[in-house]
Amino acid sequence: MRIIARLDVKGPNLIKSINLEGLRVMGNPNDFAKKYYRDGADELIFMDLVASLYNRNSLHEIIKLACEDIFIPFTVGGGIRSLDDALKIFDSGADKISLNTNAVQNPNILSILSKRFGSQAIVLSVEAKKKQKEKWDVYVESGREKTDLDVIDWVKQAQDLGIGEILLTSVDQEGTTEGFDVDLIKSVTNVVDVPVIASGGFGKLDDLEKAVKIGGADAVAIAHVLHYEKISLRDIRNKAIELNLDVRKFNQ
Amino acid sequence: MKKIVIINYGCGNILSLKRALKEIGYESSLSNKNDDIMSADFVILPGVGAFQNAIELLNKYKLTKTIKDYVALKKPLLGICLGMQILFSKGYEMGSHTGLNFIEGKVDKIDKHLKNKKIKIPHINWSNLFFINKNSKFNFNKNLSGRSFYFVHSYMAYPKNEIDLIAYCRYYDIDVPAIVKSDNIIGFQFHPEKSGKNGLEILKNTIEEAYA
Repeated sequence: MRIIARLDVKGPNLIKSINLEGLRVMGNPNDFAKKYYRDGADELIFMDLVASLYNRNSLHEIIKLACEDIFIPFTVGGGIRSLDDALKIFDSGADKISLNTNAVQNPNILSILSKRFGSQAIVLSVEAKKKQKEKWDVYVESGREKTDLDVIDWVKQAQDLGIGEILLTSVDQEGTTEGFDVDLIKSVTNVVDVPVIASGGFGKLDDLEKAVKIGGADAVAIAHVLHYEKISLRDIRNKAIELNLDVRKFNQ
Repeated sequence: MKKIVIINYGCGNILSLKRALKEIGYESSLSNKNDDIMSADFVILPGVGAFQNAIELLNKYKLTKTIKDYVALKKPLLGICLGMQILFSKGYEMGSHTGLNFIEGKVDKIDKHLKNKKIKIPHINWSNLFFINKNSKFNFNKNLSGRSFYFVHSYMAYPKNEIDLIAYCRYYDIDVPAIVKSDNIIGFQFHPEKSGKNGLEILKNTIEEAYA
């Protein structure tokens, strides 16, 4: 399993939200990215939280800088709506791109992008909000807008369209540090074969076991506790080793 | 100074690769021109996406013959990820396709139904390398045995000759070829430019070993 540091960005700043709302400025995203690389993050996710609102992704410069001295994979998301947008992001140094709003509006884009760049480079970002027991609605625009899509139907459809991975964010848990929505993770991993990244709610080391062993997640995306230095990447990795999870060996 | 060329054919994250080489002290250039490639001391063939797409792009830039001519000079060629896979004779990703045929064998699906266990595809993980001791032709990198490297792929190599397999990683209970080598041809299934310090070290070792 992989331990991923998630960096939500607005303009030039790393920000942190609760339930994807109430943005708080944390600082320069590149400083955080470098620190997480040095501390042993397995991957980084850069998400432009307001991109689809303005129809553009403003992460190009941030990614180009990150490429200079960070030698782990980056996923970049926000506002990608065409082959051309995708090309620009890959040319800036992204290894994978993630789509949410624009994929919901035009699911076929997933198929076009997977064929051109390979499934392994296309991540479906799902913002899920609990509706009732075992039911979740798909949200877009960084959790601001509800759609009529059901999460389970949507991930199955997206897998058929060729995506290679799912970034599954619980809008309810995001930023709360109260633990992952394990039912959500489990429900999604039960119906897809592609790897699933659990996101939203990581607050204590025990959350790792629930997400991976019960939920079946292949990776966890962590933001809050890293940004606020509440838990270190080293502690998370040591916990994963203790749980006998198949995790990267990292020697500083 | 060694002249390193990264083949630029619109297939792969070449910016990161160039930066990784710089980090270990090597300048490199990106090119799809015959003269640049033929005069290089070390050529890297990157690649992400589908087998067929990569072969078509190589043909589009008229690179297939150039690469074969370069290899005939016995100079080192390193294929990375899909760039490794297309070194093989055949690829069975979305149909049957002919590869560069530098290493005998095929590229096919990671067997998804092995022992009735649900296997996640693509294989996206940091996995540990295991070197096969009897294949001694790649000495420099053996200190990296047991260390983790970043893999992302849905298809894997099935080398015909055991001797060409230098190292593998384990995914579920499948031994996935991670490093292959046949004469001056080397292939990495993982991404050295995305494997942190271990990746930088293996790149450095490989370039140095080619001239040892």
